[in-house]
Amino acid sequence: MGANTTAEQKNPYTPFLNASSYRMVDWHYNSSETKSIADLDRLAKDVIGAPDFNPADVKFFNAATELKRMDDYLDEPGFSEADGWKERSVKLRLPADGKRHASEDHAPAFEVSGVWVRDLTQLVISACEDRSALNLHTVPFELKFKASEDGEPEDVISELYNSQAMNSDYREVLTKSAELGCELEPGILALQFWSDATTLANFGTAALWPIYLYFANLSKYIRGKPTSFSGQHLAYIPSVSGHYCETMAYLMRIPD
Amino acid sequence: LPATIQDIYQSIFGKAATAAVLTHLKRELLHAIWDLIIDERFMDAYKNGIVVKFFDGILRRIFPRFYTYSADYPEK
Repeated sequence: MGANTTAEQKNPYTPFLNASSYRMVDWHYNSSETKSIADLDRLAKDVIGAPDFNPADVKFFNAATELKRMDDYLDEPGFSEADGWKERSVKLRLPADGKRHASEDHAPAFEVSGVWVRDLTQLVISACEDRSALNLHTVPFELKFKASEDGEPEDVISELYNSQAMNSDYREVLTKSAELGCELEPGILALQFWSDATTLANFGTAALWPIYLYFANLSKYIRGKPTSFSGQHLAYIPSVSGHYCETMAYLMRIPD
Repeated sequence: LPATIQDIYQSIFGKAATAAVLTHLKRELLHAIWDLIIDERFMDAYKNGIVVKFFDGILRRIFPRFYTYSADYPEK
C-alpha cells in the first residue's frame, strides 16, 4: 500500500490504465448477462462514443489482464495513506479481581493492533480546500421569525450554522482571532461525530465499528443526500464482536 | 476487541475475563482511539485556529469545534 499512491492521484481510473479500458470493463460487468439492445446502445454511447475514449489506448487491450488488475486491486487493504489513513495500535491495561499493582502502568497490557485512524486536522484542511467548500457556512448567523407585524422575533431552528451554540462559539473565536492579531476572516468548522457498529452482511460476523463525521457547515439538505458524499470516515475500531462471540470462541477454542 | 483477549487474559491471570472486565476494556479501547485522533496538531488548531486557503482562494483562520457526538454505548 502506498506504492501506487502517486499513480492513483494522477489516474482516477485506477486500477485501470486509462478511461477507455475502464469504460470497456464497466460495460462488460454492468450489462445484462445476455446482451440486450439497450446494452448495445450503451456500448455505442458510453464506451465508444465517450469523449475520453481513445482507440489507441485499447490497442493492446486484453480482457484477462484487465480483470486481474481489478482482482489484485481489491486484494489490497482499503485504507490509503494518500487519504491520511494511519495504522496504529493501542495498549489497554488489564484489570483483574483481587490483583493489585503499584500503578496502572504496572498492570499487564493487551495490545490492540489494526486500529485505523485518519488525521483529523488534515480532514478539516481538505474540507476547506475542496470545491464543496463553496457551500460551507463558516460564519454563523441568526435566523428570526416574526409571527405577526408587532410580534416578538423568535429563533428559527433549522441549521447548525444559525444555532445559538455556534453563534456564541463564534464570538469567542472573534476574540481569540483579535488576540492573535490575525486579520484574516475567522471561521468555524463544525464537526458532528457518529459512531455505531454496522453489520456488513446478513450472515456471519462481518461487522465494522467506524467513527465518522459530517461538517455541519454544509446545509442539511445537501448533507442528507447520499450522493453528495459529504460523510467522512475518521477511524475504524477493530472487531466489534460481542461478548457472546468472544466467549463462544474461547470456550470452543477456535483458533484465530 | 480482538477475540484473542480471552486467551491472553487467561494466560496472565489464570482465569477468564468476566463480562464486566470486557465491558471495561471496550470502553478503554474507544477512549484510546479518541486519544489518537485528538493529537497535538489538532489541539493546536482547536486553540489557535488554522489558516487555510479555501477553494474560493480566500485565506481564513478556521477553528474546528465539536457540536454533536452520537454513538452506541461504547461498552457494547
